[in-house]
Amino acid sequence: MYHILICDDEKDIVNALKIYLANPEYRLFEANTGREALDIMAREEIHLVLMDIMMPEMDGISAMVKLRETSNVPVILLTAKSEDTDKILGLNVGADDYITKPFNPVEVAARVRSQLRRYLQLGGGTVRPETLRIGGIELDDRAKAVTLDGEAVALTPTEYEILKLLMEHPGQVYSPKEIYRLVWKDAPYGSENTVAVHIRHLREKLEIDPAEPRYLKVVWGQGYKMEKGKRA
Amino acid sequence: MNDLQETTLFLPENEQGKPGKKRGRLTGSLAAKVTAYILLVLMVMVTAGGVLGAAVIADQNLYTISKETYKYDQFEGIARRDGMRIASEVLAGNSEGAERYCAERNVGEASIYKEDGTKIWIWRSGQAVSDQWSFSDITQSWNGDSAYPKAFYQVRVTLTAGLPVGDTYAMADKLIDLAYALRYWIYAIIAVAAVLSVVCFVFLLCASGHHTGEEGVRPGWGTRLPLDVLTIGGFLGSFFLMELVIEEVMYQTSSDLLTLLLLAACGVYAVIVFTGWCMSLALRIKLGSWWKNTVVWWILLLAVRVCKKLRHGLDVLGSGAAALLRGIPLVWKTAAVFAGISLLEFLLILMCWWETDVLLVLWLLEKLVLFGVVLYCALVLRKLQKGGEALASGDLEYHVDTRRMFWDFRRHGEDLNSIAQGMTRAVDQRMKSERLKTELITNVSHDIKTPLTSIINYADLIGREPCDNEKITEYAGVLLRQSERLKKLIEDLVEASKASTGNLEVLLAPCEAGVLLTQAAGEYEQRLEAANLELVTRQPDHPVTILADGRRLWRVFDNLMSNICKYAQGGTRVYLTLEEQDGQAVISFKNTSRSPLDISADELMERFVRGDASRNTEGNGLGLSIARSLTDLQKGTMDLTVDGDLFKVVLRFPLVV
Repeated sequence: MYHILICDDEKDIVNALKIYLANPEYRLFEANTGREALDIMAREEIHLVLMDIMMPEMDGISAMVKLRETSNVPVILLTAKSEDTDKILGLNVGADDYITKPFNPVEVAARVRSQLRRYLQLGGGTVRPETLRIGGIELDDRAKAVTLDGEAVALTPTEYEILKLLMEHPGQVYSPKEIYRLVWKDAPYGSENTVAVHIRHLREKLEIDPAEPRYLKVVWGQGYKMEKGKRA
Repeated sequence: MNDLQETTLFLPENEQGKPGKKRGRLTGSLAAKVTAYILLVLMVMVTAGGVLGAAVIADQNLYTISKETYKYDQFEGIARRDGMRIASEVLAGNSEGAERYCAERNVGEASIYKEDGTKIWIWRSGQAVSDQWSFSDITQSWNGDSAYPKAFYQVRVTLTAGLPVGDTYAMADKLIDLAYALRYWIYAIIAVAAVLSVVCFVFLLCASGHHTGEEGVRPGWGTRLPLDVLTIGGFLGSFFLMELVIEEVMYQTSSDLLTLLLLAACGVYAVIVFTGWCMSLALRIKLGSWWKNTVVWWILLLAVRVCKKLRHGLDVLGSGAAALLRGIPLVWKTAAVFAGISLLEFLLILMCWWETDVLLVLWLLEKLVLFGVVLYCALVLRKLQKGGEALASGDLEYHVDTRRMFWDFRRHGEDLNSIAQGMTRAVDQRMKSERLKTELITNVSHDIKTPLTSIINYADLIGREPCDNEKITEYAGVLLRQSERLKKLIEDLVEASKASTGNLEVLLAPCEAGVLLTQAAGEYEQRLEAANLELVTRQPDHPVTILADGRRLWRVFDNLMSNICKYAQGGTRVYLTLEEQDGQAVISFKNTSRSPLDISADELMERFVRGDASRNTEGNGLGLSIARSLTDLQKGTMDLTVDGDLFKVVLRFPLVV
């Protein structure tokens, strides 16, 4: 049973979230201000917090800073503030994820699931040789299998090779030409477009929001890279 | 313990009022001042006398010679003179005169002997004579009388014991006694007197200007006099006075005592005048701006005022002439100057046409001067031209330096500067209002997003509810779709506003245009396929590097590609090409429009203008506007061409060498 705290001053949004997150595995708590959220955190054992930023009494950022003094529970900020600076600020002061309003309910559910797995199931992480792991992605080279947050992902052989190349060198940017040369082992005469298509497919399979990927990042005008995992 | 308490109790009171009050009383009191004044004069006199006395004591070696010896020496000197006097009287046959003289003085016994020892004259006062003070001397008879022939005589004078008569002996005796009594003490006396003089002097300086029962200082009668007049008058007056006294009195009297008294009087006078002057100066300094009450200051002030008046007059005269000259139009002025120069030349030639060498020198000189003037005009004109060019090219920061310009040039330069200022102000104002607009849009968008979230979520939830009525599900779908569009519109609105006002951070870095093209092709493969479009990309074999912000440039590509997917005629080809042209990377997007485009290319790039007038299709008319603003922010250009159904967008970015 996971305890999830939803904190938003807009009742309708809290209710909608409650409906989307209705799951026998989840027990939901509700708060309408940052102060209430901190009170509930003090009383109950909470496994994940969904927090709005603009709230009366105490805003979400202050509440999160306060909360971070004692707890490392995952916090997902759920806010109408969509400026880059807001996102950077939120993630820097301790948020684990940032979702902008209006949000896609399916995406919220997926992100909640992902954070819970990361926090509770994959916490320790045993690294076996020939197993590459970045964030929630695990690539077992012997079994040629890839799992995302513990769930198997079906990849084509080319997609698998590209993912393996990028996961072996996290943080390094590969241009489409390089990827083509390394994966297809052939000179890329105008066939780099294929690489881009494969990458897009990979993102659709691995990312919750392919337009804003967490792992497989597009460096526009340069190439592609695998994000260096925080807890890899 | 008690004592301590009392002391501590008294201390604050002491600190607060007492000294201040006391000081006020004492410095204000006239009696105290007069006393101090008199004391000061006295003490200065004592000091001067003491120093004099000390000098005499040191000079006479009173520290080494014993008192008796010194007294004996001094008495002997006096007695020798007395003996001579007595002898001359007696030897002249005037024994009575000698006796009278002896009676007036402390002479107890006087006698005159011949060389062989026979007594010729003796006088006794009848009083007890001193056994100590007896002196004898040899004298000579000058007149060669029968009674006392020309010969040497011995004179003996013995003084009365106790020196009862107040004559020179008694005075010398007293003075010597005093000198011996004071020969060590005198230094202490000098020191005390000097210290007291200084104390009195300082007190008087402090007290000057204070009056009983009044706070602060108040100018007295002496302060009204100008300081320099007081100083010169005081010192010169004193000097002449003393000069007069010395001339008139000192050279006419032979009395030592009178001279001494006169000197002392002069000293007293000097001390009084000097102290008074010092007090006046102290009071002036206390009152502040002491230099202002001087004749020198007044003269300086007057001089400055006169100078100012003169300059003002000259200025008025100059500006009047300048205004007169300014009134003449520039063309006339130029013509007049030219005519004047020509006339001058003509006159010169007429005057000295026969002296060619003089004429040559004059001609050279004139040309030299004219060259300077013409060069100056050219330089100033160049400056003005530069300013005009800068202004025309939009550099509103440019400031024409008008410091070394004159007349019409200066006015022109200032006009240019004020144009720049006015334009800068207008631009600033516009930037500010644009920024405010962006802020407003950003804030409003936050406020819209919150209710929109609920609308989207509940529309979605309605659609998910199991329901018999199919229409409800369909309507919920419409709601969802339209609210998603609204969400996109709000986001685009914020972005368009930011991009057009430059309120967006752009990090320019080397970026490969070819890779971006490839990535775009990959990202849009599916959507193009869905729209039944065939994408043809062409790019050079070598990498083409431009300076751009990858994320922003992708947004441009994204908008353009999404436009193509929305508006291109299905079943046609879409061309995406990259070329190098004249040091620029040229990226072009070409497609065939589905509906006829009867709007000009410029209009299409305006906000909220869309190719289809019906506005049926998805899209909000912001895509091209955002793309253009972002391209501009990255120092690129975006051109749009509509040729029949051919829709062509060309992006140009400078190449990185």
